[in-house]
Amino acid sequence: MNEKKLKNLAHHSRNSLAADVFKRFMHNKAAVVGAVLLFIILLCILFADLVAPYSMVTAYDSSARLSPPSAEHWFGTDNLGRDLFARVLHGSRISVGIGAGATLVSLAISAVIASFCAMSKKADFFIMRVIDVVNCVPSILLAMMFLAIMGGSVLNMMITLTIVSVPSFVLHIRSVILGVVEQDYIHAARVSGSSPVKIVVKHVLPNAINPIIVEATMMISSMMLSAAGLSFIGIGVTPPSPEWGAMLNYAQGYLRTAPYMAIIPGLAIALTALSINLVGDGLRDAFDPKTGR
Amino acid sequence: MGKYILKRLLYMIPMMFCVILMVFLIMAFTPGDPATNVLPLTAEPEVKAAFNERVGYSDNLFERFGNYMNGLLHGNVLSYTTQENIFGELALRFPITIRVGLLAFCISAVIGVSLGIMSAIKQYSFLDTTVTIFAVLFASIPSFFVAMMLILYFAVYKGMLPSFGLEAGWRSYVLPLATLVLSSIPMLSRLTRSAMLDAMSQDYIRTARAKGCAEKRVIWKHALKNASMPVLTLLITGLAATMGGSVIVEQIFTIPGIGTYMLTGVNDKNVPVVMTCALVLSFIFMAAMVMLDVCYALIDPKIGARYKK
Repeated sequence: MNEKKLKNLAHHSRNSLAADVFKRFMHNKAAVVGAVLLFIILLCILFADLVAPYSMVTAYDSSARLSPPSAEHWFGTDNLGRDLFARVLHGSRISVGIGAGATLVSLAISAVIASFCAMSKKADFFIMRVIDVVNCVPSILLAMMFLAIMGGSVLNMMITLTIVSVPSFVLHIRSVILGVVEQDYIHAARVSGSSPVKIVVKHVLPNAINPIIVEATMMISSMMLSAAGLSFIGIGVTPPSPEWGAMLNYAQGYLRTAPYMAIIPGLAIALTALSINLVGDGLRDAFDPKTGR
Repeated sequence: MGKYILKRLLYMIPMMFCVILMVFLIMAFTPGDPATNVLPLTAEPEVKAAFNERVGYSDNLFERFGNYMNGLLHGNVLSYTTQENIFGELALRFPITIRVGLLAFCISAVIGVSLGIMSAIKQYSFLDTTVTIFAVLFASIPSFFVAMMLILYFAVYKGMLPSFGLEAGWRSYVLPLATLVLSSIPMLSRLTRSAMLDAMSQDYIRTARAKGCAEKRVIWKHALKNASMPVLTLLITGLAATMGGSVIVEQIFTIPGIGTYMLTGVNDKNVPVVMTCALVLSFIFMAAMVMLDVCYALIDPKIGARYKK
């Protein structure tokens, strides 16, 4: 009887961290709203083809140019008579895809570089000097240089945002990791003869993962916003693709006659970024109840 | 302290050289040439080659870099497209960017920091909730969308304010400033709030209250001073960023500032323009960082003591 209780307790305590995080997350109203919103957006991304086939994105209907939202075209049509609903729906794949893809690649690269920083003083010195130089140049100028030269496409946008975001991401991960490296259990692991690689993979990264997850979540939305901004000034994703920022770019000319052309993609960007930010905020508070509130 | 500042300023020289070299290499080892980007699509290959020859783009890498550095030392760098001195163009554009940027910076610093302090003092009050919701919302709305909605309402529907250029006096500054302020307040107020809350929960605040310190003094003297470091960091990096001009805002409102200059420079593969802009902006950024370190030393006696030897 007693043994069973103990076993239960042990079992309970093993799951308690994740369970606690989940519980705290669910208690945060804003975070739950964000999560639900994000879930709906993810459904849109997954099932975009079922709702509106991709052919609708580029299908012209010259008789229905600039028609306001109606039963036939839920979000209206643009200057070429393309259905805005289909374009916004499929645009979610591009915008969120760029944000998530660039963040994942940048996360992987930055984690490796930051681990080098944490493990070797020499590497740290060298890498920090390089980052010092890169950080002096405004990241938007760097992004503009790469994009203008490589030409605008979804892949180039992802590559550019990855390159541009690595320095600041390395700085963040490095500061988190350096905090962990100072802990006693890392000294213990080192004294007991673990190899640097083993220390990083087994002890440092698992203990540094929470703030990194939060930062990465926030980064998805900020990358999405940067991508939209670059497309908006005309050097990002090129016209036929339904990227939200690019859609706003040519909505500029029709602000007087067709304001919905700007409002709808703009709201799509804002709502997506908002849902991701709310989830990120919720995660931060859930991981570490002391910060935030 | 003086010696330290001097050392930091001298350290900027090799850093700036590295920035120039980095931008040069990126521009050099990527495809494309100025003639293709500037001349019309139908231009003959010979015309293009002649253009590249004339602007000096067809020289080899070392010559191009040497020419640029030589021009820089004599304060005379020629733009590929206009064949005029870039510094003349910068002298025209910089005041515009700085005027818009500084105004926006001051307005958002005052509003953002005071909103943050007020919502930290009255945590969970109506004001705090409103500010928090506003901050979360506006942090997710891209600045160009804010700008377009402002244009739609104030310029297109109401016709009260001009939507482009800076020719109409103070009226033409309202919308760009509003856009910049609205997009920078959220981060400032959130950071100020969390830094203040963090400081207010420290032991020294309890001590100050316990010894009978007036609440006003506790907040302004003890909490704010300790909360000012992260806020100051954000403010000064923000100040450095405003000097570079917001490309997006300048583009929407067609403001002839540094941002639009960089964009046309990049689009034309106008290497000297891009390099000079990068140089000037990196100089401003590094100068701001030195300023920040001095501020740290002034605010925090622990840091200040390190320089007093």
